[in-house]
Amino acid sequence: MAPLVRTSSTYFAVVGILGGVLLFANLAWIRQLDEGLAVTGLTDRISWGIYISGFIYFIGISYGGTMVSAILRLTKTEWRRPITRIAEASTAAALMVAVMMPIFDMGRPERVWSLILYGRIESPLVWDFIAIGTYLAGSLLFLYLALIPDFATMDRVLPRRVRVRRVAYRFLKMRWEGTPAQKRSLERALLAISIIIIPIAVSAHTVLSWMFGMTTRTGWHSSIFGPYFVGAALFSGIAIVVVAMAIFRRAHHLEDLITEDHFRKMANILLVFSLTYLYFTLNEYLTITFQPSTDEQILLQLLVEGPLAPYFWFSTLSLVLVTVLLALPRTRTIRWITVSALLLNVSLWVKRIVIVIPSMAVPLVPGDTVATYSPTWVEWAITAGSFASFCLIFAVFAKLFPMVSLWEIEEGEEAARLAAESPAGGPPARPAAPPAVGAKGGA
Amino acid sequence: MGRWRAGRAHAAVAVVLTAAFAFAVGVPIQGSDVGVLPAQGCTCHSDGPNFDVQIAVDGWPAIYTPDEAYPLIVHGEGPVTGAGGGFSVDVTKGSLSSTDPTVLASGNHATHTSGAKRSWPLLWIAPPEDSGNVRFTVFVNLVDGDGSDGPADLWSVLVLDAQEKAPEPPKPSSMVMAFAGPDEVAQAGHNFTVHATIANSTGAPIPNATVTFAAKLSWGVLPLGAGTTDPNGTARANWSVPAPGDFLVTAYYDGSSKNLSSNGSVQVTVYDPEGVWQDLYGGQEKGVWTWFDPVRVPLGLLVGGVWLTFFYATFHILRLRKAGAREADGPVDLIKLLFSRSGRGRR
Repeated sequence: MAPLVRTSSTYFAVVGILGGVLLFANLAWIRQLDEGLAVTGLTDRISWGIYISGFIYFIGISYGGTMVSAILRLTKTEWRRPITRIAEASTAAALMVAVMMPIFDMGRPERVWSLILYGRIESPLVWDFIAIGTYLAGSLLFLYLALIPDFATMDRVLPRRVRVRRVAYRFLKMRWEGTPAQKRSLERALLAISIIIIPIAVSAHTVLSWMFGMTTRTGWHSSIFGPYFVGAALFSGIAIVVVAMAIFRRAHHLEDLITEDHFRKMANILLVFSLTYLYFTLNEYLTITFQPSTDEQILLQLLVEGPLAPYFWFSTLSLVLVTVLLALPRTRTIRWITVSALLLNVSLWVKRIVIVIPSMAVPLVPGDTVATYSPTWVEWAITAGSFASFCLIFAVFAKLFPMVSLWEIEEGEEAARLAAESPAGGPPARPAAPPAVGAKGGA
Repeated sequence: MGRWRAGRAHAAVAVVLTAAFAFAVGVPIQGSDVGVLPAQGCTCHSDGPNFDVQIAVDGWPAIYTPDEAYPLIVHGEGPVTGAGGGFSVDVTKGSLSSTDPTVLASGNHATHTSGAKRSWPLLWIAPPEDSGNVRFTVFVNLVDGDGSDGPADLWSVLVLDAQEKAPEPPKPSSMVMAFAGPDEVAQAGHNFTVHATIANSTGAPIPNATVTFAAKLSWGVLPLGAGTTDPNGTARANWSVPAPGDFLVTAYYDGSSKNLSSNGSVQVTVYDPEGVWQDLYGGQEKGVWTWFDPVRVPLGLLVGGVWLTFFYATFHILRLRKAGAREADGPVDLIKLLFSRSGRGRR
C-alpha cells in the first residue's frame, strides 16, 4: 500500500521524462495534422509504416494479461496470484495505446467515424474494429472485476488525506463487504469473463492478421498468418509482463511476493513460445524460398540482403539468442530472464516492421521499382510517444491501484493455511473466496 | 653514285608536292556561287562591303508577335549599273519561305536562284512564345552583269533585330458544365457523359485545352480523369457509378498564358431502375431479413454472445452491489465526503 500514498523523487523523475516525451510526440502529431502525411516518410506505395508496425506490436503485448490472468485463473494455478494485476494492467494499457496507432496513420483522423458510418461488414478492417473494441471493453471489465475487493480495502485503509481517491474507491467498490452472496457474484462474473476473454483475444489478433493475409500482397497472403500473429502476440505479451514484474518487484519492494520462482515459471512459458515462434518463422520463410514467383524472390532478397536485412537478421538472430538464454540453466536468473524478455520485445517490435514494410515495397506493377521508406522525425517522435504513453499509463495505474492483487494473495494464503491444517489424506482444501472487509490484509 | 640517285628522287618528289600545293592554293575552283551563304560577305565580287549599297527590308517588325506571319521584301540599291544582284538571308529564329521561284528559302535561310533581280519577296513566320529576340542578317550583292566577278560588283550587309512582343496578361475564362443531354438519364451501372465547355473573355471557345474532372462523394473526391477540349471548347468525361443518388461532378481548367483558370460543377442524379446496387451489394433496402447472410449471422452471434457475457458480468456487479450493506456512496454522499474535514463521510 505504501507506494499508493508515498511518492518518491524517482517516480516524479520517471513521470516527468515520460511526460516530456509524450508532449514532444503531441507536438509532432499536431504538425502532422497541420501539414498532412507529407511530413512522414509514408507514400502511396508504403502507406503502413512504423505506425501500423507499432499497432500490431501493442495489440500483441496486450495478450500477456489475458494469458497469465485468464488462463492461469481458469486452471487454478496458484503461483499466478502476485502477477495477475500486472498482467491485466498491461493488457489495458497496451490496448489503449494500440487503438491510437491506426489513427496516427490516417491523414484525416476524423474520418475514423466513416468506419462506423459506412463500414462494410464484409471487410476485415471492420472486423478488426469490432474485435479490438470488444477486447478493450472485456479487458477493462476484467481488470475492474478483479479490483473490486481491493477498492474496498483501499477505501478502508488509505489515510484521510487522499480524499479524492477514496471517494472514487468508495464508488467503485460496489459496497463490497465480502459477504457470501457478493463472493458468489464476483466468482461468477470473473469466471464468465475469464472464459470469454481468451477467444476474444485470439480473435482480435487473428482478425488483425487477416487484414494482411486477406490481401493478395506478396509475403502477406499466407494461411500461417493467423497462428503466426497469435503466437507472436502471446510471446511478446508474456515478455512485457516479465519486464513489468521485474520493474515493480524492485520499485515496490515486492521481493517476497514475486520470487525468482515466478520468473522461472514465466521463462518456461516464454521458452515454449520461443520455440513455437521459431518453428513458425522457419515455415514462413522456407515456403517463400521455394516460391518460383518473382515477387516472392524480390521480397526474400529485400529481407536477406537488401536495405531491410539489418532488421530481418536482428529480429531472427535475437530470437535465437533469447531462446538460448531462456534454455540455459545458468541464465535462468531474474536478471537474465528480464534481459531476455526486454530483448524479446525489441526483437518482436522490429519483427513487425519486417512484416509490414517489405511486402509493401515489392512492386505491384511489372517494370516498377522497389519502393523505399524512411521514417521521418515526426514518425519516430510519435512512436516514442506511444511507448511513453504505455509506460505512463502503467506508472499512473501503479500510483492509483495496488500492483498486486491483495485479495487474491490473501485467498492463496488462506488456502495454504487450510491445506496445512487439514488432516493427512483428507480432501484437498478448497481455496477460500475473497476475504471480508474486516479481514486482516494489506501488502 | 647511289647516293646521288636517291637525292635526285627526293628532289623530284619535293617538286611535285610543291607544285600540287601551289595549284590547290592559287587556282580557283570554278563553279556557281548561287545559294551559297558567304561567311564574311560576297568576297568573290569585292573584298569588303560597300556602304553605297543601300539595303532595305520592308515589313520587318521591330516587335514581333509570336507565331505570326510577316511578308518581307528585301531591296538592294546602289551605284552599280544594270539590274542584277543576289542576296542571302539568315534569321536566328522562326522560318523563312517564299512563293517567288527565284528565291530559295528553307528554315532560317534564304537566297537567290538567279542573279537578274534586286528585289526579293519572303515570308517569315515568327517563332513561338518565349523565344526572345530575333536577329535578321541580309547580304545584298549588286552586279553589273558583265559575267566576271570584279570590283564593279558591290555588296553590303544589313543586320536587323526584332523583340518579342510582351505577353498580355491572361484574361478570365468561363466554364459551363452539362450532363450528356437533356433527354438522357444517368443510370447506375451505365456509362454517362459530363460536358465542360470553356470560353475565353470574348466568348470564343478555347480548343485543345485540358480539363480535369472529379466527383465529390460522401467519402471524398474521386478523380474522373482529364479530357481535351474540341474546336467548340468542349471536353468530356465518362463515368459510371453502381449506386443511385445525387452526385456533384466538378471540372477544372488550369488556364494558359492567355486565359485564366476556371471551374464549374453540375449535379447529376443517378437512377437505378435495373437494381444494379441491389444485385451488386445485396439489397440493403429489402428489409431486415437481408441481414441474415453467411457473414453477418455467425459474426452477429459471436459478437452478440460476447457482449451478452459482458452484460452478464455487469449484472453480477450490480447484484454484488445490491448484496452489500447500504452505504454512503450516493452522489450526494460522495460530494460530502470529498469536502468533509475528516474525510470520513457517513457510513
